[in-house]
Amino acid sequence: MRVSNTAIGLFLIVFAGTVLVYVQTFPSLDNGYPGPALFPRVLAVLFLLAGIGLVFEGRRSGEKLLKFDLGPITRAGLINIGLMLAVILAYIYLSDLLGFMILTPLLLLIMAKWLGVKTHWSLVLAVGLTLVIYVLFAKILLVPLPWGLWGW
Amino acid sequence: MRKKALVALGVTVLMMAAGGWTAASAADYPQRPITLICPWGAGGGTDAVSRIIATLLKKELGVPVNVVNRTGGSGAVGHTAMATAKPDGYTIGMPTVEITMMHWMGLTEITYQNLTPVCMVNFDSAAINIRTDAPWATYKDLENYIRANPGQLKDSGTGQGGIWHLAMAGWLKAVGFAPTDIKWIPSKGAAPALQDLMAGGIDMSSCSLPEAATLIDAGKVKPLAVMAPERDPKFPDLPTLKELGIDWTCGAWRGIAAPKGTPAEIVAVLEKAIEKVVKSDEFIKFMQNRGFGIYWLNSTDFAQALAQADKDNGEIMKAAGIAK
Amino acid sequence: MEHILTAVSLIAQPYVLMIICISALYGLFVGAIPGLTATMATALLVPVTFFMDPVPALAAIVTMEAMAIFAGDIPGALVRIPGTPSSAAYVDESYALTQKGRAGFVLGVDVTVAAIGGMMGAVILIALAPMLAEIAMRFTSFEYFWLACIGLSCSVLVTKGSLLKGLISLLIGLFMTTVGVDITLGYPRFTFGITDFLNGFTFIPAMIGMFGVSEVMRNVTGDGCQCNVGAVQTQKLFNGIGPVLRKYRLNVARSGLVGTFVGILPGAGADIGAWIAYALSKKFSKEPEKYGTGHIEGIVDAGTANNAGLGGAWVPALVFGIPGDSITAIVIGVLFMKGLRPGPMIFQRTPEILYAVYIAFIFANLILIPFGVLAIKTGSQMLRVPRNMLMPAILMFCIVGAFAINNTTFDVGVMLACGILAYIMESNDIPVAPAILGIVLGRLLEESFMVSMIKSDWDLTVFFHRPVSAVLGVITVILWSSPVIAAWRGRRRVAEQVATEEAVCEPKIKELT
Repeated sequence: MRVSNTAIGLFLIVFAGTVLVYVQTFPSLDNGYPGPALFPRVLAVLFLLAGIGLVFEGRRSGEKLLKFDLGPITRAGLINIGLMLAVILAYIYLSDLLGFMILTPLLLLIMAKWLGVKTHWSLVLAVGLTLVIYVLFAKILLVPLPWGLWGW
Repeated sequence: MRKKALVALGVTVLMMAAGGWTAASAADYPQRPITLICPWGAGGGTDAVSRIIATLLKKELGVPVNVVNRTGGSGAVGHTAMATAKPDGYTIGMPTVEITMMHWMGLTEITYQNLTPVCMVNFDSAAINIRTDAPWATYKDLENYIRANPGQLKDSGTGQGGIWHLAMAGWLKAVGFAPTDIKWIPSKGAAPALQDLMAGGIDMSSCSLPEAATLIDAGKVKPLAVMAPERDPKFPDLPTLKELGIDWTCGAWRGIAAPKGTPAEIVAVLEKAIEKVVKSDEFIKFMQNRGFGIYWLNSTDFAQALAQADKDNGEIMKAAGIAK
Repeated sequence: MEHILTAVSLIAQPYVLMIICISALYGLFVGAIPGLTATMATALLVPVTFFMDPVPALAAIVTMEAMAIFAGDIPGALVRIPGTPSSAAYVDESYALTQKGRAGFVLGVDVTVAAIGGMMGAVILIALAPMLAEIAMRFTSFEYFWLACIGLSCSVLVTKGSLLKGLISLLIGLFMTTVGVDITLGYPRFTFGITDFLNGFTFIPAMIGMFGVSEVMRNVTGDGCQCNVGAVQTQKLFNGIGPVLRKYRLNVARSGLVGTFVGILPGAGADIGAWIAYALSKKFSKEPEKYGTGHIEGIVDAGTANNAGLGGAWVPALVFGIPGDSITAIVIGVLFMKGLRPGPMIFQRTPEILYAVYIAFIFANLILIPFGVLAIKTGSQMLRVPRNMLMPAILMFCIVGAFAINNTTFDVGVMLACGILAYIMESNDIPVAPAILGIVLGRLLEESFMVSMIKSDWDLTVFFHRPVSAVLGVITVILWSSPVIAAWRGRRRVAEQVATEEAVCEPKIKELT
């Protein structure tokens, strides 16, 4: 997923501007010395300069102003990425509800099937890995996993 | 075909989930592992106390008690996690003195009222610690120096608005000094502050005695006075501020609490179990070795202490200009 | 002498040796799984050590941390996900070698230099602890500020390609550390009222996202490594390592010293030590152009330094009871629990315990080689798994690891966001390594600067008042100005050349005038 240097540069300039405006709301130290705002402000100024630099570089190389190009990624590849991200999102939102012991094999099964693993191997992966992680984390290392409603 | 199977699986899962909602009950508590939230990082004093309590509590209750460190925001993240957990007794936490202070700083909306107090287990008083080669032999020397040179000395021990900052602010107020007569230098905790003290970056640290104990042993740091109601048995020669005519005590405490709305029966089970833990030989030996003071308050007394501390701390923080 | 013999007899007992072996396995597991850190593992050991004698308890911790820091290299080399933050500095370098089919070689070098580095740290701890602790105790915010600046200069050295894009990456990392509670006023910055943001971007989920998730994303699009890395050569793991060590023996010595000293400083740990060693390695290398393409030299340096740092961290912990890192913070607690006070007391009253710790250090680094080889052989089986089964498994380990560090799905979200960010960055030739460095150093940089300014009422010259600080300041200025001077010299050389050419061409004019 490539975009032009000019576009990145413009984005950085807008971002830096937003930060500079937003940090105005931060309080300053006694005697008016800069406090919490100082570091973000310095970084924003540097972002601004880097953004301007990128825009210059982009203009000089004569690239298209707003190039957006998926590169070698195929449509299928894009959907695969989408699925991976959806799996992470599912984990974030469903783990409290379903708990580790249900959600993990389910997501593993979906991913493996989608990536073209044979059904029996997918099942081996889903159940096997879930048990490995469970024993390793919850039983040996005593690291809590999302318990879900039943307290798995 | 596969789709149908997936749908069926999904439906089963949801039904099981719905069944789970009603499963929790207070009568046969506890049945499954309990999570104990520690609002400070692994390696600190609160982490150590919560882990020893978790280990001993496991023996009392017969279920695993897992310590989870939820750090950040000067304790705000962990305390919020305690307050917003499901009030079923399976998530409890170790609140520290900061619960009565953070909301005055505007860091969080959470106050002690969002928790169900179970008990207090530990209390450590602040002290005034200086370098051994500092020019002040006694507390009075230091006080006279501050009077003659206001704003010259630097003190540290916690972040801005932390408990040792409050200890300094209250002490200055009790003596009649202005809050700015000693400059407060924020730090990430007592250990880095003490290192800075040795390196000469600051002049004193108002952290607690157990935190400074190793450096006192090493002859690098010297306590001048302790902000406790009475002398510490480990430092019998160290005067309290009260003896020196200054009416100020301050210290950090640790306790156990559950989210607000936890059933009273569950709180009673926890209170009884933790009382046994706190009075066990293992716990007493552990606390003695670490130099931590054991201070037991049951749930009613703890609730009162919380309310009082919250009010007092708010007043001092406002007077010192720390609070919003 | 008798203390040493007592100490040996304390260690050389079947029970203690068994504990050491178990904790070695434990350390290897923890180190190899991203999200489980040596610190967390040590904290989990505390309730167990409560029921142990001090010597097995301390030996267990020493062994575990040595194993964990090495084991972090294994997933780093095999799938480009550093198992612990200390391996982040050279993960790209290792992975590049793996893609060339040399994973066995990288890991063989890793385990060897880890053992050597760990041994150096231990020897320095044994020989010089009290003296070095005194030096480390002179470091205050002024010195730490310069140290962070020196660390930042690494970013130039670890950047491949456009320096401007390297700078942007560094800024992204630094900016991420500004989220959360500020040091000066305790003001919540960029939190938008969300409690979880008060903690900022936790480093480990961010690291897992930037390396692990982005790599999974590249792989499932077919954009990633298509080359078949094949089975890892684990049969002849140590082939070709002898010449490498001989060639880079000075690197090993230098990085061992650097790593140990950075480890001694309470404000900096093995991860910063590895970055600095890597940067120095490139700075003084005869072949700096090869860095980033799979050159073993940087791995030798950084791999030595991070294990050397472990011994260093025990120096201030044992001498003054001030922890050199988060693991030794827990160790101090364990010592207290056993009625042993760190400080002069432990040196005078119970020297046999102290010697037992020393012997445990040496022993742990000796058994690091066989145990490490075992871990490499086990871990390498991972690459035999077909890619379409491996990717879901890696993603699941990433998720569970990010969750485990703070037990919150918020950190899984941090991981996701950082993964997407890193994917976009790398597709546009913005390197990820400087951003990781920025996250490592951002807080140290800001906090040491702000605290120094509050101490001195905004007098900037204060950074040169103290002797140590002034020396570090001068080093920083030299490091930072050297590229500028080099550029200026280069330009002058061009100008001189032009001038001489002109002079050659137009001597007659001069003669005329």
